Amino acid sequence: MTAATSASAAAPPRWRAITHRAAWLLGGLAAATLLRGAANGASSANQALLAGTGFGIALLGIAVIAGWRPSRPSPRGLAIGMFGGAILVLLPLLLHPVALNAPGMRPAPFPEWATITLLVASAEEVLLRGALISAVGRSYGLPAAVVMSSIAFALMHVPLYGWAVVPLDLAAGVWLAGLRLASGGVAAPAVAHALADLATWWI
Amino acid sequence: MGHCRRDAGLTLAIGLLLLIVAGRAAPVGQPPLYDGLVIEDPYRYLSPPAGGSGSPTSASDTADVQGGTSPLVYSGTLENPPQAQLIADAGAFGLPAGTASVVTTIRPIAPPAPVPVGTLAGNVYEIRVANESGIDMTIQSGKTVTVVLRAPNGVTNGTLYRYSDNAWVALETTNGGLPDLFATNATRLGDFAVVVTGTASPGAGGGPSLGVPVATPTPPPASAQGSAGDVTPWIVIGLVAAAVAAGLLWTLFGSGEKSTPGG
Repeated sequence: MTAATSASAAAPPRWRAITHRAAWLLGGLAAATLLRGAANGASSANQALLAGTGFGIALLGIAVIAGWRPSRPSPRGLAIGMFGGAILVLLPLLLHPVALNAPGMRPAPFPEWATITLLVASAEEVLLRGALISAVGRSYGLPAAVVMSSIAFALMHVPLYGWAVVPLDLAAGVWLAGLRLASGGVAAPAVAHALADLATWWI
Repeated sequence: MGHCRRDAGLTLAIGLLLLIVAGRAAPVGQPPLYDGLVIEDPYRYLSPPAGGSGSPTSASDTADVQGGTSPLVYSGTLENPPQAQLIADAGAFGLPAGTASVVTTIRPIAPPAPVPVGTLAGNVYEIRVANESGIDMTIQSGKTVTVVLRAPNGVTNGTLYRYSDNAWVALETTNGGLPDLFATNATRLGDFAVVVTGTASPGAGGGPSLGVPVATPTPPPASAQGSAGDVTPWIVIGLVAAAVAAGLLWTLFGSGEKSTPGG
């Protein structure tokens, strides 16, 4: 037996459990993402709404199984989230003012679209900035947790949006992770993420 | 606590820097799209194939000249997402003498000529920018004018071509924010189309290069919207309501949010 395998065998059970938890979260996220991409199909409104709903519920389920539990959002967390969301929305408009002239995506009907967009945004934050950052951060440190959650966030959008969105989503992932660290909970990144998503209706 | 604040501040600073760099590099006009639901209208063909939708929309927008230069211009057809868009920086067009307004028109047209290679994926769009007297404007050197065309659902490997001076010219093509949106920074206007070369992607068909809108092998859905009486939206709303109710109950009986990042 080598020193490495000996060290691995002697690893504390808690460390191994957390590693398994991170693997479960990432594996579950990958599976849910691929299924959503397949279910989205030709992208009729109903198909996309159902695929989004299933995706959001699946992510919440994966996070809960991994041990994540909801908690009451703090007012400070909500305020940080509003600030973070404003940056996400305003920055692209400042960089490309012409976007103000462009219409939003507007995939009607709005109430269903908005409801499911909120569900998906919140579920992604619960899994990535909640459960995954907690699990990876404890074992490997916060930098690794931020990098891993941001890469996962960027890659999970590729099946629907293509590779072109990876740089922007990677950057957004780091920003949202920063909101999580600044506020101590998932409410801030969830609020910011939801605001950025909902803004696509108008811009 | 100071350690946590430093980590948070550093992460936010890096995130903001990356957002600025990635945002500047993103194609002009790309929305702040980090997520959301992708719901596309079925592609509307000028000459619809069997099972395909017809009646593609046109666009005509007028903007006043500001400070002696052409204004920011956005014009797009009315499908969701638009099947053809033009996005231009302020000052992008040279103004003929006496110009008071800039008129942008986008309309689907019959292919002016067969494409030299591959097949057309979707409609050919004539894109013009003129003044109020109908005098065409030219794009100023060094200014960004972006043309974005959507291909039929499922086409992901297209290249934008422009027809001008009686010839089709391949253009440097980038992704326009969705897999079937194709963008280019145009130096001239004219007639634009998405062309699929090589191995045809699912929606492009494999027909000859006849220069006509190509049918998708699988017909697009008849309607992108839920019809009246369709139960699917209620299933969706019920599932979401159940998830929200479960979350609320859990939140009410759970503990408050911790202030530690690792929590």
